[in-house]
Amino acid sequence: MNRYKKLWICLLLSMVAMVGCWDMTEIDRRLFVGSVGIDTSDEINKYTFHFSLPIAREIIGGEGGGGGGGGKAVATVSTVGNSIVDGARNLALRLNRDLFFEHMRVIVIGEDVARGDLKKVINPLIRLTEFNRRSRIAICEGEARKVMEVNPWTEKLKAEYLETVLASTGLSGKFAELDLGDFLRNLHSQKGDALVSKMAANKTQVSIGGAAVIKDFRLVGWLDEEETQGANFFLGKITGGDIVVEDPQGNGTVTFIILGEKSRLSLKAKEPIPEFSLDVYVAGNIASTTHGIILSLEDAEKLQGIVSKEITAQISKGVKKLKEIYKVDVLKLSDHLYKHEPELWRKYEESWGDVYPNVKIDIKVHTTVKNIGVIR
Amino acid sequence: MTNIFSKLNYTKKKELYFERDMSPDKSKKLKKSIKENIDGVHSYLYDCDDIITRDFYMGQTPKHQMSLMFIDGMVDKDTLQNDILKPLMIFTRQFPLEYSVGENFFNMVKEGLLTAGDLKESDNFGEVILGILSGDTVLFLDKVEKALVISTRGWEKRGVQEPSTEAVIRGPRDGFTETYRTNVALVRRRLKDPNLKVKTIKLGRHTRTDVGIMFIQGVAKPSIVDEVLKRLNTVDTSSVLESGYIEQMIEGDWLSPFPQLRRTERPDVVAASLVEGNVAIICDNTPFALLAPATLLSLFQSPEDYYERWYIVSMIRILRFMAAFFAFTFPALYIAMTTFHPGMLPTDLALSIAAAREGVPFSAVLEALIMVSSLEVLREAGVRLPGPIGQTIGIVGGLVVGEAAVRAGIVSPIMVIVVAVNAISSFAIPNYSVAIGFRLLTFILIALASVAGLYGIMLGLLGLTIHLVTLKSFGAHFLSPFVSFRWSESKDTIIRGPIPSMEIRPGYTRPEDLDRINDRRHDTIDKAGDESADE
Repeated sequence: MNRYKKLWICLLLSMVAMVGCWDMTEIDRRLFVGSVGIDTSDEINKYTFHFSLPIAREIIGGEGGGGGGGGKAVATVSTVGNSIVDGARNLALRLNRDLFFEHMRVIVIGEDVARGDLKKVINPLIRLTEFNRRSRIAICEGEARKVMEVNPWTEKLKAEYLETVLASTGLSGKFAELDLGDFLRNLHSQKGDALVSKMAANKTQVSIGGAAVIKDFRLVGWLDEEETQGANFFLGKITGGDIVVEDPQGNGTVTFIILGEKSRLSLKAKEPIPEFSLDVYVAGNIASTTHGIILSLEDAEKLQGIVSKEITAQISKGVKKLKEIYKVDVLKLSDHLYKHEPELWRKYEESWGDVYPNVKIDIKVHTTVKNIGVIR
Repeated sequence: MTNIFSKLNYTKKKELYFERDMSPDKSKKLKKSIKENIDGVHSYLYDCDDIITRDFYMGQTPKHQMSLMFIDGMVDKDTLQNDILKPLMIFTRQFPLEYSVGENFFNMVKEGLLTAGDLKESDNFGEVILGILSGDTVLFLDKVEKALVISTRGWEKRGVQEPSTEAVIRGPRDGFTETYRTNVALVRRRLKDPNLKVKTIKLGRHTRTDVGIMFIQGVAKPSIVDEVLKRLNTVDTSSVLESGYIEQMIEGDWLSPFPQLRRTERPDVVAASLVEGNVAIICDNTPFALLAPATLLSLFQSPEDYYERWYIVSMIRILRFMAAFFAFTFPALYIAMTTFHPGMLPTDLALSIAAAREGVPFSAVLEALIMVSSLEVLREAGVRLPGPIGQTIGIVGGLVVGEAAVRAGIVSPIMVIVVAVNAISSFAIPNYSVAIGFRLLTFILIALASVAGLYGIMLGLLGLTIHLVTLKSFGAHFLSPFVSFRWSESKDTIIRGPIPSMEIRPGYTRPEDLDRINDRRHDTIDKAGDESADE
């Protein structure tokens, strides 16, 4: 009996420590935040936050027309505040329910905000566990409000629409796929440099493509789609998408579908300044050609060379822009030195900003055509 | 009214005529005169109108006086007629009796005349009265200080039927009945082993119920057998009407929600457990036998687990354990997830729960308590009502009330799903007592979840684990073989390995003879091949 007494006392005592049910809120008393757009405001040091709040009863709808019963499925509410938390508090004066951020899927940052100091915006996102590290981040051309006002027709839930657009890496490598966790990690390890997806919007849909280049927590410029794909090839992040090249024989194009990619960076020379070589291995299928039906093995081999050349060109273009124009090391060269050549890194740690634009990178792409297509 | 019963003596009680261990008091010896003996019996069994005394004499003269005493309805009339009365009264009528009344005549009757199968001599009132009360027939002869107790037990009883609580698809269909001897015989028929021992004691001051323990000598661990006997001997109770009385009196921890003896209605389960080194307790007047020691895993087993092929059984067992987990955690998890940690749910699910809950007047906790309790009430009502009505209640309760409650907006449809999954999961546990124990835990976990969310649930599970790890059943760990784990025993746990691979008996009974299977199949196959090659 004695041991049970002890057990129960422990259990009861632990309950005393938890009196108040600190987190207890019925699920229907919460307002889920689906996505947030952040814009600058007229007041100094304050931002405008656009919260998109899914309305549960309209989304689930139930009988008779699946939520088409009148109301909007998503409400967008704007507020002004120093930080996202402050914004939410201000909103509490107008709404009768708790804002709940754990389901926030997408953070869209306006161009003006990004050109200012991103640190201030990101701070609460790092600090509070309430923010989902898997929410995706995008930087919007112009105001984030435009994105938040989009009325997608494929999904009822705006956040879901935005998130799945930003997650479609299997279909295209032309944008920088990034979630909050990655973003924070990049900002830490690369001193505030990162590639973030670029987003644009019209009334009914958003479009992604290209990337925003963040240097020292500030937006410094954009990469176009091909440059972004090149950078993704460099980083080994491509999982899908296609490459269209000139048909070597016909007068049309050949579509090459990427199945997978691996990249390997290695240090080629240490003196006078570090020199890198990059091997990129790409595997894929041929989806369409414009000449003849039958594709011989020789043709396939020839195609491999042409695709490699095209990919090399994309990578060089992206690397050149990042290296020479923006001088932003999101290619993780410094990371490589830090990890694999610590002594060399110590030498360049201070002066890396000056050395980096002059670093030479030898790019080799190895393409394999896995399948020339079933023809029967 | 008063006139008839005023003659009865309610207050005066003849002194207890049996020893503490329910064996008859042998000190009151029988008398020489048949009249005194019959009066003696009547002095104890007065006001018992169901006792029948049949006086008769043997042969052609009333010299050889005899008397039969038995209880109407508890004796087999055929045996009484054909094996006692017929030989004594009809067969002896044709020739004159040479023996004079007395000892020799008694022996002649016992050895030469009675054709009943089982009889014994007795020289005291204790045995005689117990015999009469047990359904035996007692034969008194004049001028002898002894009586014959002839086993004529036979009463209206239920035949061997299919057990209703442990249904199987494949497996024997016979179940225990309410008769002790039948039950023992059902087990004995499966184990033709001279080492199968049956020890019978009587328990209950008023009921004097036959309680037997069965074990296989050399397989069961002696200390477990001793422990069972010791605990049974400490039982001092007025009545044992069902094996549940014994179970609750001899189990080690009666605060636990888990039964520490396994109960079964199936002789094949008893036989299988005996071979594994368990001890069976079989009780008269109930079709439920008890098996000791019990482990959590054994309570999760169905006999069919060993009759079906092992892939299927392994899958079913895994499902059963998952079901058991949901059987006591599901409503609690729902409460924790929705009221404390909605971030853990997928967004779409969180939204649909939120939408479903909109307009529901009660908090999730109260809602869960209402639904789980009403389900318990429905279950109880369905069990107690006669069969066809019970089903009706199930339909009315499940469909009509559930649907109506949702439509009226009193509970959310998700909660109906949660409670239904919870209930169905608990029915997937083969042992009803365990399932009910788990359902009890549901309430505790709901309380903990409503106070501290997942943290509370974890505390509850932690407490449960502590309890289970410390729980013992007759010296065996309740959680074995997970406590003091042995790899060789893992084949019969959450999965069930192929039967040829289960070479040793489970260690929780620590049987003396560990070998279960000597797999000589391969040897014999090889040898057969060799021999045929030689020829």
